[in-house]
Amino acid sequence: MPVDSRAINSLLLISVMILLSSPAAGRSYQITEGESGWTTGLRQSNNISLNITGSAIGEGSYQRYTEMGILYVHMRERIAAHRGTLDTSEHIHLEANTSNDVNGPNYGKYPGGQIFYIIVNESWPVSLTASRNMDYLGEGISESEIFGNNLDYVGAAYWQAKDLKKDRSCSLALQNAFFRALINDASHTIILDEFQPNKLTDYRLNSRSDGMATLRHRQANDRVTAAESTESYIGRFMIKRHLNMTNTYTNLTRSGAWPDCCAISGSLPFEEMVFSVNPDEY
Amino acid sequence: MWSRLLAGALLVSILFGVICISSVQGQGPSITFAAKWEKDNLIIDARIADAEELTSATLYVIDAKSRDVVWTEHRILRAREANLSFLWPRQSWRISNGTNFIEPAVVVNTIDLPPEEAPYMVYSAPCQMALNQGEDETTALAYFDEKGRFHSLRDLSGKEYYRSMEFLRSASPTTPYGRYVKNNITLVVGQTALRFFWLNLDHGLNTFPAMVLDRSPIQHYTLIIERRASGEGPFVVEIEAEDLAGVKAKEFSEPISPIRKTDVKAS
Repeated sequence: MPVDSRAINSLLLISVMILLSSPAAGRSYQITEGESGWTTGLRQSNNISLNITGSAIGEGSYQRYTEMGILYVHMRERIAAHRGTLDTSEHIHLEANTSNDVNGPNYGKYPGGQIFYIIVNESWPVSLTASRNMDYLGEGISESEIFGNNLDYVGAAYWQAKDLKKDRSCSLALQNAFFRALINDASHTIILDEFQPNKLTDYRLNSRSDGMATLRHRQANDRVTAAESTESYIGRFMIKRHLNMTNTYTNLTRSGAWPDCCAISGSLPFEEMVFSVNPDEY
Repeated sequence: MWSRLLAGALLVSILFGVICISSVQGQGPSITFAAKWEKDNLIIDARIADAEELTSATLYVIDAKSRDVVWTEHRILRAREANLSFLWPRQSWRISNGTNFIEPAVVVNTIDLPPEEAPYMVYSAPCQMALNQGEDETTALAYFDEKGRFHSLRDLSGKEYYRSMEFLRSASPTTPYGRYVKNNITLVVGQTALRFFWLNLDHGLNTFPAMVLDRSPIQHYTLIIERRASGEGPFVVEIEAEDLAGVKAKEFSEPISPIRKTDVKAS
């Protein structure tokens, strides 16, 4: 039987990178096939609780930079307000915990071929809620925000508004995430690339502004865009928006999801493989 | 204190006096007046006399078709005779909160205020105030400066519910406005509603639909009064006077039409 030289020369590396630093852990699962590959990206477990409550009222200029998030549940905010009067108040709560750890990963190769699989069930819940009321009159304010939740996002931006009244609240939740990949080591192809997070994004906006306003959102199903939109308003507008995106996924591959009908030994006939685990690479 | 009393007295006068238009005759102030147009301004020269000392005189301009009062001006008197000159710029008052507006609203010039308060309380508009939705209403006076910006809200007892940053800075320069808002302002953004008045000869004093204050106090709740050009008319001028004994008298003009520009050219 001739030996496929490509199969010999190719390097299939399945690795689990672990970042261990108590109490947080970071893990990245990836499969490298030559120059291509598959990865879950860095997933971090953390016990985090963050509360921000604040308000400001006054006259002058104002700037703001916000970046926060974990496990791709994040918010980004930029505000630049030129001289004017501003009244703003906000509340942000971020919480993540590692009460349920990762189930898996399961690695293996289906018998009789060169198809490898990797399955990761991750139950690291994250919750991020953010609300802001802002009232500005002045020479001009530019303000942009975006909330992302594992490939979904929603946001709004206002440019050069001399009059901006904005009440916004957003709630993001990630319950768990399920990854599965099938890779054919013979043909160097990724047969299946599945990413199914159980997530919720709820965004409410009530604004009144002049200048230019842009609203956008994207909802992903697996890694594919299922819905997206961008809209712009130039002039004086009252904008009300409520956007709710949910993605619930039942992992049918987990034990207990299937009736115990056929398996005799209780274990599936997978060929066990040896994987490299290299915590130093991250 | 005097200003509040006078404002309250004026409100009571509006509430009860004008509704009884033409009902008071006989003893009391005698009123004679003449009105003439000068471009878009109506100049009213009035002479008022009484056996008792006069206390006040009020000008009302009424749209003869709708019979709405479109302009009000109040004067304090301290004599038995007075020669007064009023000017009506052929305008009425609109009140806006940035989203909605109402007109013609009852807006009156204030009088006899302390000098430190006068710049922020040039005009007042009576209203019914509900701090929260569904709560009982309180009669109050909203005060505006010469440019029409909202600076103060007080009930008839003088209790102040709101003061603007400029007004506070003038009265108490070292007090931070944020602290003042937190500790002193009881209006609730998005909840507190004001119902301003309009006055009609037939229907008396009425309230407009409620206006919700949904902007920040630092933005003066974006509540403003604006002068708007009145219609083609004709208009009726009414002058009301009151003496120290509380006896009132009123005098009305015949309907007066503005001079049209085409008429001026033709002459």
